[in-house]
Amino acid sequence: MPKSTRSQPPDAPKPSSGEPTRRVVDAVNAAEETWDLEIDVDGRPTPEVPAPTDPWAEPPTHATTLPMGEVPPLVAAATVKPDRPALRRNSTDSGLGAGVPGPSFGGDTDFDATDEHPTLGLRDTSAFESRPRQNIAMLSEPPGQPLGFAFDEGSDAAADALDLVGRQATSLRPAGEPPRNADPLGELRERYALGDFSGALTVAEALLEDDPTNADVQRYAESCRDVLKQMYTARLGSLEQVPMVGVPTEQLRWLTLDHRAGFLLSHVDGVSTLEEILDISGMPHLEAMRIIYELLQQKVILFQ
Amino acid sequence: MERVIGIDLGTTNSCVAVMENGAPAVIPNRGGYKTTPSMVAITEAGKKLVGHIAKRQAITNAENTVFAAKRLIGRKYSSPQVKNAIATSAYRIVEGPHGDVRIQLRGKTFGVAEISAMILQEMKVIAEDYLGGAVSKAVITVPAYFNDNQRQATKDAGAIAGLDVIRIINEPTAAALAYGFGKDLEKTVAVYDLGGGTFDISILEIGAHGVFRVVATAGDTFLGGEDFDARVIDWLVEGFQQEHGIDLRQDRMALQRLKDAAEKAKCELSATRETEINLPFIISSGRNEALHLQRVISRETLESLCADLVERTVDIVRQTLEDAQLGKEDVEEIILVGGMTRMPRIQESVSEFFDREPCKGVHPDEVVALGAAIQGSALMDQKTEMVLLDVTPHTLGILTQGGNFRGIIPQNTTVPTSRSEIFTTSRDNQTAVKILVMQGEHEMGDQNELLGEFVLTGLRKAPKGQVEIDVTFEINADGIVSVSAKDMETGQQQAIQVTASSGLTQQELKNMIDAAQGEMLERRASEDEEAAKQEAQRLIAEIDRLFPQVEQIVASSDFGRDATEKARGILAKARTAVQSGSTTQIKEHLEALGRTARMFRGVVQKTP
Repeated sequence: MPKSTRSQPPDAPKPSSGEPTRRVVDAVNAAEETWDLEIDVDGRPTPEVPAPTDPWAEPPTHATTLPMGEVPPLVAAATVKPDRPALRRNSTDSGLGAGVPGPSFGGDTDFDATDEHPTLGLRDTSAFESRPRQNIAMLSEPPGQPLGFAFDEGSDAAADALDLVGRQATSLRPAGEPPRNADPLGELRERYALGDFSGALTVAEALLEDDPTNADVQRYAESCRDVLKQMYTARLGSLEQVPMVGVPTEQLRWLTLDHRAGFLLSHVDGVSTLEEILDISGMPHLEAMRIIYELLQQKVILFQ
Repeated sequence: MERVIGIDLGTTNSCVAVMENGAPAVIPNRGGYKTTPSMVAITEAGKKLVGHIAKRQAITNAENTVFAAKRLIGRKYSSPQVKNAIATSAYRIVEGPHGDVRIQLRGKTFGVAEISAMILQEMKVIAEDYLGGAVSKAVITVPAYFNDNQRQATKDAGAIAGLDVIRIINEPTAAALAYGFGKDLEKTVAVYDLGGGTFDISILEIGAHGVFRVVATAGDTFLGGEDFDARVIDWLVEGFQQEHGIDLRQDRMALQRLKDAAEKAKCELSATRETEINLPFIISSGRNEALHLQRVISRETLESLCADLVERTVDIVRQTLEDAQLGKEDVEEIILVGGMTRMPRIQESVSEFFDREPCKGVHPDEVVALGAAIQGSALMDQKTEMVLLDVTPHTLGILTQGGNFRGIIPQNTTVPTSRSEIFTTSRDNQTAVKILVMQGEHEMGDQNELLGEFVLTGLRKAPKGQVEIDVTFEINADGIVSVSAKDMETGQQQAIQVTASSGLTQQELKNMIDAAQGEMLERRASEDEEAAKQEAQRLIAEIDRLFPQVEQIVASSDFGRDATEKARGILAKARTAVQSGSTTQIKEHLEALGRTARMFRGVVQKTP
């Protein structure tokens, strides 16, 4: 089985002229460079599915670390495709199903562990202000992300950014409603082609709710799950590793976790392996892996 | 002499023990715990989980987690106990092809004995890992009230798990055995057994030369530590509801954490006066924030929450003594069994009732398994003089007119035994009579267990009550029950031998044994692979660590430069093998790695 091609799929969105769009494409191309290093997509059952061009692999730090002054980020994010609101993520969408919060992938997050507080795993806002590392997609993150992925409230820049995104998101999508698009299948293909697998999975799952028998969408969903699973597996390493809590018990409650992360964290006992924790979580593995990865990124958990 | 393990196959927890150097010892599992939850689960990915890991997901995956399978083993689907279990279990209980009970997990149907076998297999693996060799023989304990079918089903479970069950013994007998180990006692003892899911009280006579006899036994199969946990959970849920207006029961993840925390707090309160329950991020408030649960519970609170449960056990003890026509003063020793008996309030209640302190010399969680190990060792050692008298766990009898049950061999009769009783016809000119052999204590036949039936024909025609039929029950030393009916005038006779059945056919049993063996082989192979990989990684790390020192030493001498080059080559090849994941390749390099590590160690040690 050949590795997934990295060429632009024929039905991928054609970038229009203009600076913001160019940056999106740049980010996509740069991220491609890490594809073979990080993810082995052999065996993915997606013969009819267009190949992704923006895989997650290593978060594309080098490709997306742009000087803050160079990109008016929020405006840029909003003007890339102002008519495609669903491309931006809602705080209640993890790409893993409606109402499941969390970041999406495909280069839309760049999270540097060095930005975190050494003991609490909290974001250090000074690091954010002095050394912006967000790509366009990340800056389109709405507020209220769990697990500390959102910006610190104390940061003016972050607060401004969040406000702008918030208004944009609100005006385009009523709160509590899943992402809608006039051509959801097109959106699914587009997201997939751009490597936004979690976003594509969200759209696919929404479509499957309406028509569970749609074989094409099923294939997309399955492929997204496979790729995401491989991504997390690559990031987490061996599932035989034993995680332990890296934050003192009395400081745990100061973290920004949601109840699912809290639940998984309650199973981290310094004895159970990652695989065991995934088994006992009762959550879909993909979601559990995502949360564990985020906990690891925040140093809330560490490997022995 | 072949090692025999003793297994306490409990409703909630199981324990395995073995005789070591003449004394019984409990074997800890891989997590270091001496008991293993009797739980089996199948995950979404189809993976089988047994023990602690199954328990930790029991609420979030309730439909596919089997607990308290012991309540179902060997029972008919139509029995009241099974109906009760259906009402209280989240997993799906269905009727088997022979009127037995089956359990459905993720679309696959399992026999109850098959589920229990998974737990027994886990205990077997724990013992094998500890003893470093295969274990094939076991003594398994069952409650004293288990009927023949339940005992047979337990034996079948052992067979499926790859164990030759050389004896099934009663749990209170095992507890008394462990209590009396090394002593020459003649005593009447009460075994008060409050486990995770059941309560049993048994009165035993320990006779001279190690003769044990169960005098009376009773209990409640739906009363145990889980009920105590449930009270703590209720208390926490109500408190949280009052504070935040959120019902934690609606969220399975929250409930799972509550269950774990309640059990932990309950255990801690046996040793401390109060403890804190701290569950951060227990649930989402719905306003994009997570709420925390933090409460302190005192021992007094726990005792007040559970007072009626403790009282229920005392009521059962009182009733059992009355039924056995025994006074409290007849009981010379009280043995506490089951983790719940660590609760100070329970110990106080037992002391108050019997007017004496219970025995503190036995470990409540381990005593039954220890007794089973003692019995196993005694069975293998012909020199041991210990005699365990088997008794009939339930009354044996037949169904008579009006659906009434007539007992012929009473409960707790020592076997072998034989009893007869004369019956007459109930209709005029009756030429045949159907004998339904039953087991149980209820006066109505339909509440008891049907063991078998046969028809005695050729009776002479006569008015009702005139034809006399002699019904004889006989139980031999192996526990085989034979029933015969004889027309006293004509001498016409019919008989059957009652064979206990778990509800599985021989073919089904064979298939299950084969499947379990296959799984076991796979599991061992997988463990072998993992062990090889870990060993290789350990050796690579050690060589890496020693390399700079060895290089330094070699650089200052004229020898050994080739050796370091070779070591590099060995390391590179071993790393490639580990990355490939091929066990064969890894094993090929283990010897070279070991040799290199030994050499490096030697070089470093010999150099001042």
